Amino acid sequence: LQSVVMAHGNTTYTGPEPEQEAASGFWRSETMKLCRLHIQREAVHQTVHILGKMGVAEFKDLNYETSTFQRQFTHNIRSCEDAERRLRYFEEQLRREGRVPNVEVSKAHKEQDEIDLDTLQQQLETLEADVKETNANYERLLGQQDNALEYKEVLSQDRAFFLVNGDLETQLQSEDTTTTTTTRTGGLRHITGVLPASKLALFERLLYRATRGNMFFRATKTKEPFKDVNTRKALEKLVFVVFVTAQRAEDKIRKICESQQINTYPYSLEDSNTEELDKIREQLATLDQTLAATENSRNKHVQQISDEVYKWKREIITQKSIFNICNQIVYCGRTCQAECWVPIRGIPAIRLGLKQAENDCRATVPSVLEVLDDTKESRPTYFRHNKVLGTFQDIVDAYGMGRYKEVNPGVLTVVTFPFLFGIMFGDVGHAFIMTLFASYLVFFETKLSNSPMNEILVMVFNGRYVLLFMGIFAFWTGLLYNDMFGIMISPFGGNGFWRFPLSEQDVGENCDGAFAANANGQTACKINFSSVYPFGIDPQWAETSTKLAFMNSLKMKMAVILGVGQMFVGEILQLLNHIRVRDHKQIWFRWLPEVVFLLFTFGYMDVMIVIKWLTNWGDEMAAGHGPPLLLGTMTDFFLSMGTVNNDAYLYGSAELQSKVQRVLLLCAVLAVPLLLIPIPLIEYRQHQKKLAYNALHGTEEDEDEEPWDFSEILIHQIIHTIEYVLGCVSNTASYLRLWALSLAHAELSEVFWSFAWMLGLNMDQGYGIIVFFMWSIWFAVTIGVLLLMESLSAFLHALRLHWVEFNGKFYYGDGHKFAPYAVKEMIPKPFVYAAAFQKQD
Amino acid sequence: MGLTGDLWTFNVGCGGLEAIVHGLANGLLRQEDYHNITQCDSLEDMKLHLAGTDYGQFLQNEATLSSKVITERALDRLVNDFKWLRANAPWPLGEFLDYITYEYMIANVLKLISGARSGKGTLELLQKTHPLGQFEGIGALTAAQNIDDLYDLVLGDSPIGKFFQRTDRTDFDEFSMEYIRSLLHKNYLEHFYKFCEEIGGDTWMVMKDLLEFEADRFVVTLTRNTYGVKELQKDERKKLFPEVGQLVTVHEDLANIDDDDALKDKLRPFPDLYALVQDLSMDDPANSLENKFMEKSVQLHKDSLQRQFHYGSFFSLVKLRELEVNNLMWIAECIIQNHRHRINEYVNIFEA
Repeated sequence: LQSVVMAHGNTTYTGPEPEQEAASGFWRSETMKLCRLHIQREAVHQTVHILGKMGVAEFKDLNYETSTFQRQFTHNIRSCEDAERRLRYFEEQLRREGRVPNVEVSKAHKEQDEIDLDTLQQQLETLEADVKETNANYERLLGQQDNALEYKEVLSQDRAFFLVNGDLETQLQSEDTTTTTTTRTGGLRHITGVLPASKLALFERLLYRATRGNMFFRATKTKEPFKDVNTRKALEKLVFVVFVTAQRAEDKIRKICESQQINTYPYSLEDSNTEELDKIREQLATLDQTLAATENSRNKHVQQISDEVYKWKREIITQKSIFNICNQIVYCGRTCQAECWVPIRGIPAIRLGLKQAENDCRATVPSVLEVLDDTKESRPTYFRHNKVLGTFQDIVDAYGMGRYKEVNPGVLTVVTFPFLFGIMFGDVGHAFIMTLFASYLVFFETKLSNSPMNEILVMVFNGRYVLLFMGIFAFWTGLLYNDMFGIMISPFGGNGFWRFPLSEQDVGENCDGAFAANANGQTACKINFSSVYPFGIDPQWAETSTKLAFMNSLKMKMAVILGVGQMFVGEILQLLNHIRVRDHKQIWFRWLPEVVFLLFTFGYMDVMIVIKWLTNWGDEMAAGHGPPLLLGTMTDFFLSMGTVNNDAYLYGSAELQSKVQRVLLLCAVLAVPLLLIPIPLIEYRQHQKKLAYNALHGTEEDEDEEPWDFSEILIHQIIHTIEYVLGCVSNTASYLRLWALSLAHAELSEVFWSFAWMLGLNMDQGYGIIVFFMWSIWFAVTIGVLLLMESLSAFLHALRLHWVEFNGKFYYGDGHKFAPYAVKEMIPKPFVYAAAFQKQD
Repeated sequence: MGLTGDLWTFNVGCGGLEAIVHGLANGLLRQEDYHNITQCDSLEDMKLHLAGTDYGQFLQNEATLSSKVITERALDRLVNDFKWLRANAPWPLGEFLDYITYEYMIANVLKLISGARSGKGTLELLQKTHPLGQFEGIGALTAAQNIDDLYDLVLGDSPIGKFFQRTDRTDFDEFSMEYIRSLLHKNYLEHFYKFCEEIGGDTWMVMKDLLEFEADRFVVTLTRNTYGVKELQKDERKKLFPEVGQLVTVHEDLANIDDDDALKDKLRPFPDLYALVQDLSMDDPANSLENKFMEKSVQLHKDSLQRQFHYGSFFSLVKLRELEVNNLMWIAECIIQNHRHRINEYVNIFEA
């Protein structure tokens, strides 16, 4: 869009433009305007074409009341459909020949542009007639050739094939006399012919039935291979001969042959048939020549089709779409009106397009663009984004298309989505592989996007930027966890908070008894209070038996903090939405109580977690005050009205904390009726006012508006309140999946590491064989389970957290997407088009 | 509960297929679709309207439209749907679906023989057969000279061989053809009836009504068509009545009557049938008995599609779809021949 405007920068219409709202584009959707175009009738087609190439306007169907076949341009659409049918016929010809359309030739035509539709139609029609005629000829000739070949097969069979031993005749005749009373006219009769092998069983059965078994049948494979006349595929055929005695039987068999489309050929048992054989050879030779000539002209046609079919297709699709749009326009007299949605930035481009079309058609009446500001219709949502942001936007759109101008969660999703994924997937090794793979897709995207891929790969490819971001963020969290393939790494050396004493003496010298903890039967000593590990989690935890407990506590708390944080950001976005429409009612009676409830309960919990982390418990314990269990504190917060037991306070004193908690709890509880009651009452009052106003001024109620029902509003508010209050609890708990998934990932990696790889390493005697196998298993499992399956599940959970927990706080998602009329989107890409032909084989 | 399973188990084998059948039944043209296509001025318009229905782009590869082309493509669609169902059907649904095709096979056999008698080419005849009634070797029928041949050559090995009974008639005159047709149909109905009884369950409950109605319709039609036919002895006429349906008790009486008044009299004890025949007259084609039976059967088939967990819906779908194809043919013909005033005489499947 921008480029169109830029390209025509000098000639851009310079009149006053409607102004663009702030932050439009990605944070909020583009400002859209409903435009009415007045165009001279003769210029409509060209105008629509130009606008279609720009792809900036979504046309409204102004004739929705008229049925399809009563519209103005239906006959043009029909003729396009006719052309499409012809194209399909041509494509079928290509497929039959196993040819792929030569899209390169068609691409070269691009610049030359504009093929006249009528000329093209005629060209296609003639070509179709030609091709059909050639094909008919070709098939007829092939049929003749097939027959001749069959006859040749019959004639060139060994004599012995047709000879029966002397007994047969008497045998058949004697049977005949006993079973039927048919009068015979003489000796044996025979029928020779060729049949496809697939019909053998049926044919034999029919023969048997027709003659009551009183016949002799013999069949043998043809010497030369046959092809099916229509499909040109190999077809096995058999030469057969049937001997019968009676004329009636022979008639019947001939009839059967006819009905089953089995060809019979005369074969004389008396003379040697050489004459016929020569004749047929001659015939075959002529047929071959004619066939070659026909094939030649057929090939010419196919070549032409292969070169031009893409160009034709492109043209026909374009024209058909233009006529479809033309059908949505209202015509009156010499001018017509079209209405379309246009993003405000696109209006100059549209004006330019109108002008250009006007010039192209030498229209005498200038086209006019009129911006309709007073429309009540809901406007389409349109975000401007690039290919990186687009994928993240798709994740949001899949949940719901944003309402016009509401805050787009897609912006924050770009960062939060891969970050939450990283929390669950954090592992330097796995993330590195993922990043590497995603980088490959990104660096070679031009090349890859022009080559055919299977469905699943296309899906991965389309999500390459999400994948890349996920990889990078998982690498970052992997560093935070200091995890690589499930084992803890120490990038900054081993020294840290903890140390394992090497000797008894060491214990005596360095261990402070109060902090000695038993790790794997060893005594771990805290020897250096000031030596905090420079980055991430101290890898020395890996060797302690309390590693899991430590990690769980850390990750669980982190999950809850992130969760409440993200939900709070969601609430802020809600506030921004309300502020934009200046909805005070929603700000004070929806947003405020919601935020109070969230922050005063779970927000407070987060604060306590941080306080607990920051408190120096060494000193506190020395003073006789141990760390309280936050779980217990929270339970008491809700169940005992915020009371804190004497020894279980976290900050200040038990008395202070109890006071603070009581205030918080009271506010949170008061927030619930504040959320529930005022909004329905206010709406009720507003409605009463409106009724009074209408009664006073005698205005009718708007027909478009839905009937007003107080009970509905009340029920809606009750549901919302319950949902929100319960949601705060359940959504916060829902964020614990961050911890759970992260734990599962780390544990799985560790298990695979120690049971596949380390086990193999221990068993191996230095030959390397077991190591080879066990390493392979470990690597396969790492790729299959940890990289593919685990990343899928982490992706899914990140998705859920965004859709349910985050979007649920503010996102309406009930808009409809801006779908501009863009010709480019409708035409298949050349390589995709060509690939469809390759697939057939 | 029967062989098909009931509420608990039916879906294990046939749930998916049944769902597809109901989906296809939902795709039957509605009254408004009919209303639209009867307004069309040309077949092109009709094509345009049908493109908006479940028929979709079924005519997109046709260069020129004719009522024949429309009918054939529409029938192709029915056949494709049916073949797909058949290919995915477990036992005994597969056999049940086969039974549906037997009726078309019988029709094809008769069509081929009478065609062959009038000396038409085999290929031409084969093209006219109903695609649902194809079986291996059906073409060999044209080689048959008499009824014995017919059986020996083709029917003996075919799926419908079991419906055939040897009779003393051996030539293919017009009367014997009708006789064979009736005989095959009678046996077909009886076999199908018995088969449904074996299946049992809901299928039996639904199919019992449908087949009994078919049998009664057959008996009444046959009776009316054979008023005063000398070749048909009264006891032989009775032999052609299927031993199925509510009219079994009066077969004896029906075999002996020769006019409509007597027929009405005999049917008086059967209120629903009597309702169909009571104001019967030979002259009014729109009000003919055939149409009334048709309307009644449409109603029954629609009822069968209202129920679940039975095979009758497959049967009903095929019948209604076939009717729909006939309707399309009728409307297309009327459009071509500009018989506007008769265009609404198609069979109403969904009344307004």
